[in-house]
Amino acid sequence: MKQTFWAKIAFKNIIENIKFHLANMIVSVFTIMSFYIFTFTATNKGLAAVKGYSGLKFILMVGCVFLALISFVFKAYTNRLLIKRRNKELGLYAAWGLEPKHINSILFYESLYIYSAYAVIGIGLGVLLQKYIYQVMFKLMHCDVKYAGGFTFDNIFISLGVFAVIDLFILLKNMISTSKKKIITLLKEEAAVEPVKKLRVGDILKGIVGVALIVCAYIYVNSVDDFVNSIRTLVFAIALLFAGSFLAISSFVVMIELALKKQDKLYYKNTFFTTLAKLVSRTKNNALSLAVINILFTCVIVGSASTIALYLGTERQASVAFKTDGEISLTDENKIPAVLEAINSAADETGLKVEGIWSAKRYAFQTTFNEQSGEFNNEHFTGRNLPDIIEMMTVETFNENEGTDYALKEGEILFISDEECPVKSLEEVNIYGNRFKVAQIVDGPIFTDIDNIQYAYKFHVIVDNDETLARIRESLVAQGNTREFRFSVTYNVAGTKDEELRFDEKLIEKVMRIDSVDYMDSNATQRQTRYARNSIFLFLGTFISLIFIMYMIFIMYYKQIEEALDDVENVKIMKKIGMYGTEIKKCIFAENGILFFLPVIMAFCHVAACFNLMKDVMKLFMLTDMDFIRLCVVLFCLGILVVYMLMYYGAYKVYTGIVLKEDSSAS
Amino acid sequence: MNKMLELKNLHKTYRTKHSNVEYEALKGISFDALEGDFVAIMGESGSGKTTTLNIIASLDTASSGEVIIAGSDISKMSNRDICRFRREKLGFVFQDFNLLNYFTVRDNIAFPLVLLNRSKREIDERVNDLAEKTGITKLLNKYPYEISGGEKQRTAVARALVCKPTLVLADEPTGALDSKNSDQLMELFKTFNDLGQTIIMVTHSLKSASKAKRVLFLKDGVIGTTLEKNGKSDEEFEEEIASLLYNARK
Repeated sequence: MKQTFWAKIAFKNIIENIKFHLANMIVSVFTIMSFYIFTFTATNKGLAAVKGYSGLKFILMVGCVFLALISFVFKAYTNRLLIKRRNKELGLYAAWGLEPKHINSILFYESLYIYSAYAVIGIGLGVLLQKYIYQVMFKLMHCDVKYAGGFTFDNIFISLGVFAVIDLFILLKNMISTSKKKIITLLKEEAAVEPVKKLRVGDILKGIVGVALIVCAYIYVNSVDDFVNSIRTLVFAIALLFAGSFLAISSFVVMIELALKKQDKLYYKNTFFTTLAKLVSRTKNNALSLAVINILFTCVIVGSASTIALYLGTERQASVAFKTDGEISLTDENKIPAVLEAINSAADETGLKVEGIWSAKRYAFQTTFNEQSGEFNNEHFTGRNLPDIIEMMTVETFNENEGTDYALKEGEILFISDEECPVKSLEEVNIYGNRFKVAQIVDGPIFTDIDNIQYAYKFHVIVDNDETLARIRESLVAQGNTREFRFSVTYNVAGTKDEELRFDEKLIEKVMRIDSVDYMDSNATQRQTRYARNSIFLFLGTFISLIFIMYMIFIMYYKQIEEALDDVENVKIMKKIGMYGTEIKKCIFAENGILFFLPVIMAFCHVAACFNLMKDVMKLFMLTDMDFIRLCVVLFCLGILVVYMLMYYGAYKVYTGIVLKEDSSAS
Repeated sequence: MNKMLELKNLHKTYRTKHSNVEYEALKGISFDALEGDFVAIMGESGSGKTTTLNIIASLDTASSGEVIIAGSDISKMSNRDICRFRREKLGFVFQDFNLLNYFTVRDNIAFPLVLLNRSKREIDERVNDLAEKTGITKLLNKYPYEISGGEKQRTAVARALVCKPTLVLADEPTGALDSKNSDQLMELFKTFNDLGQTIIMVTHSLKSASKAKRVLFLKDGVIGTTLEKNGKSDEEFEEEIASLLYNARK
């Protein structure tokens, strides 16, 4: 037969099954649109004008790869649901005498139509919206960057290609699995699954393993003290939680439901009778979908609440980045006057007032510190996750920067320990063989603890003068440590944020001409780069979370239709036996409610248990205001709960609409 | 004996959804059934027998006419009252059993009693009693998909009788059973009828109809002939029904 015949049948099939395809197409439209906008934004010339362009481009590209991967995973999963429903129809084609190649032609044309429709609409929407989304993003970034017009065909081709490959892979999988199955298998595969009578020992073990995995994940995320690798920890924890949730729902929750069913006084009540009996089977049969929704929900909360907290907390991050307004680091002490001159000159040119300038000579390197013996060396094992750092300076520098008036005799030092490993009493310190008497232990942090993030445990030793500092260095050079002295200039200026940013730009221009300056940073620069980076995170987080939510809705919607269609006959029987419509609705409301809210309650538990890990991830992005993060998470949870409740009500209406539909043809 | 069921001039017209074409399924059905009666309704496909049964069962409504069961006119009841009436006064046996797969045999039988909020003790007593009478005591903890068609239908009979209904309605109860199971089921019906249970049954089977006390023949929406058993044996009555059907076809 001609291909046009199969093409027509495929078109008719899509129209007849539109309620199954529509939700899938809506999610696909949004996904390809997001993908196109990500690639467009990453390659748009306008972005190149933003500070930290290469980093932002990299984040967007990672976002594209992530989006392609999750699209593949979700499309493959939702296809499993769809194709299961269609097996009977495909079996009928085979029974009518269609060869596998004919069925494959129908499947091919169906995929082609759906792909063409969502790709054209999705990319079309992307092209229409790209300018506005781009402008919103730069508004969020607090950047004055102009939209660099038009679109390039490259991005369109990349988007079309990525989604064509995903769809092609799924199509081939469907073709292979359909042609491998016997006709009778295809015809019977749609039949309702048998109810769960009792759990086998293996199922009980699975349930226990599931709960154990969840508990292990909770213990793991709360015991790992390594915020530098917190994203890796989070990914691993989510994998553990997914496996645990699936096993727990499919076995442990069913165990509880079966136990409740055995409570005669509870079970043989009108309210619980059908609800409990149906729930056992529905929970078991829907375990995978519920586990997927559980993890999607957890990811949406963690991802969205984190990116929202990061963006809204940008000012908080920037304002605590440095104790002073800025810092310049250099290797040559003789160039300090030139740096001071640059600061004053930049301030003059921008009309700002310099409130204070401080310079410091510092000698710092990685070491290990034994707080019992007071010894610094390379041999002691601290057992800490982060490295130890020793920083030395003279008491004169310390007093000047801290506004104190300590005095030290020869052979005496001031000792300042890290806040995370406080040292209460110490009589003597031994720095690689150089022994000093501890005159006083001073509370930290000090002016050189410039950031609010802990990358290392810092121990400060304040010596009496430059000669002592030089002597220590000579002794260390003799032991092979060639670390140089470093010099820093810190400053405070008074002005608005815009003025400070202009001052910063001028200052960078000037100090970068001084050859020994190797580093400069300031709160104004930090504010700008963090706004840019956090906006990109918010941008990616919002789109990806929306896609997750859409898939969540899609899976729930599809499951509701599927289960409602399977339940039509049961409801007819219930009505014949004399169950009121309101009683049936009450049962459905309770059943669906438990199935809908089970993954959400579990997700909230996961988020609460993983909150410390979320804090570590936030710390990685320099947001350390825990109360603020907690507030963002709680508000987001409440917001998404409201959305989910609306979804639940909609799904309940769809379900009751299908099962209680009356044939009102009689007059 | 008291009248258990009265049908007065029942009419039922169906109209197709889109083209508004009308089809009159019942054209004035009237008959009575006394307490302890066993009435079989026979007729060709489309004669209106299942429509009649559905209207008696309050699963469908008549276009006009009255249905009075134990003195209550169900055609004037509200939906909620109809449901209550159905769960308290009627028992159903269907051709395709209509058992709920997620319930055990015990729970399927107990279902109507649970809807009536009966105590667990009463539920157990009634379920065990009926399971014994219908011969399914050993199957109580099994699920419908684990038992045979005959066993399913006996479960359906037990469920229909569990509330001690005023009237049992059976729609082709032997339609999905083999001859051995059909015979056993009809013996069961006869036993319950001998104990005073009123039964109205729609059937195609001569053998099943021969167990009834009276057979109504429906043709094109009206009652054509009525045969009374009046002390005849099952075989004689079956022969009489067969001969009537044979002559009607000639």
